[in-house]
Amino acid sequence: MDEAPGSERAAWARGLHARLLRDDPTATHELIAHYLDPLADWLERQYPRLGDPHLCTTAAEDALLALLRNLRSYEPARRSLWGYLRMSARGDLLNLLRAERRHGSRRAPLEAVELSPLAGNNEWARPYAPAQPTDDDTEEQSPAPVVTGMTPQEEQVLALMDAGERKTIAYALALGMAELPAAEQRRAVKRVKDRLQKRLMRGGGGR
Amino acid sequence: MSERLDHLARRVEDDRFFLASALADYARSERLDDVGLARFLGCAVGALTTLRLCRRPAGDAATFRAALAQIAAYGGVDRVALAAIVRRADALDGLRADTAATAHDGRGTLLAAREREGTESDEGRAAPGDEEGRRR
Repeated sequence: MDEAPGSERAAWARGLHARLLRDDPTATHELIAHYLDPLADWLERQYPRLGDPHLCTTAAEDALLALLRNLRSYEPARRSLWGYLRMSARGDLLNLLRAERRHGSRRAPLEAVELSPLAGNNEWARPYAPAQPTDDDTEEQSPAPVVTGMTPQEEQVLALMDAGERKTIAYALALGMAELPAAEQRRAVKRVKDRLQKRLMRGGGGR
Repeated sequence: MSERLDHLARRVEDDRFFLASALADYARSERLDDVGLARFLGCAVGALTTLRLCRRPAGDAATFRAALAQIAAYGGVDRVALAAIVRRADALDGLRADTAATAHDGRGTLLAAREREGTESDEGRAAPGDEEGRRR
């Protein structure tokens, strides 16, 4: 799925995005057919210890649907379509994981329900009833973004990490550190990458 | 065809952005399963996922016709049948909108059909290309 600048794939992806912007009716299927499986597979490789691999499929679907609903959210000049979709899908997956954790923390154990042997469940062993609504309506709010407050440079670093970039100079250029000596570049780039990794881990994800 | 594509094609059946919504509405109104729907369109069942994930045609008459032709060619289906499907779905959407509008002021809507003298009833008249697709 490499869409390196200047490659045929990159040109195809740009053309596809332009067709979507022109409301080309078959471009939606082409987008989904081309990216859905690779996107879901990539998420499964990034997060191999998830309890439910269907979450990766759902997140990949969410990312593609979000793009189709707001085509101008993707700027071809900033990154490849593949890189954009991976970033978006990772965010959607982490939001799904957060929602799952919030839902799980409110589940009551079955032991909290007492089933009376007499007709009608009108006596409770404990005052808590699992079906009671809570006052906390955070589940109804929009999911929080995965990593908030990222600088544009950090976003570029994350995009490079998503794209599997290994060269330090690429990161150094994104961070405006290309003038530093090589050893300092490596240390500075590693600091930024480690910091981003920690923020992602706190959000529930990891590489 | 990828299972994931099939899953997403089903997921978007309530999303008016996708042709899936029109196909679902038509299938429900004609009580067709996927086999019946594919037969009506003159395609394999597997082609339905491709169609479902296309954008639902809309816009002025010329744009609508061009989109239908493009989708029909892309999916390898009968253009006239596809047009009938989308037009039926659009009509159903219109009825729902009308019902919702009148429901707000507490008045209901009664629909009545009456045979015209000397002609077939509307129910009995087949839509273009409809013969193959009827379950009966």
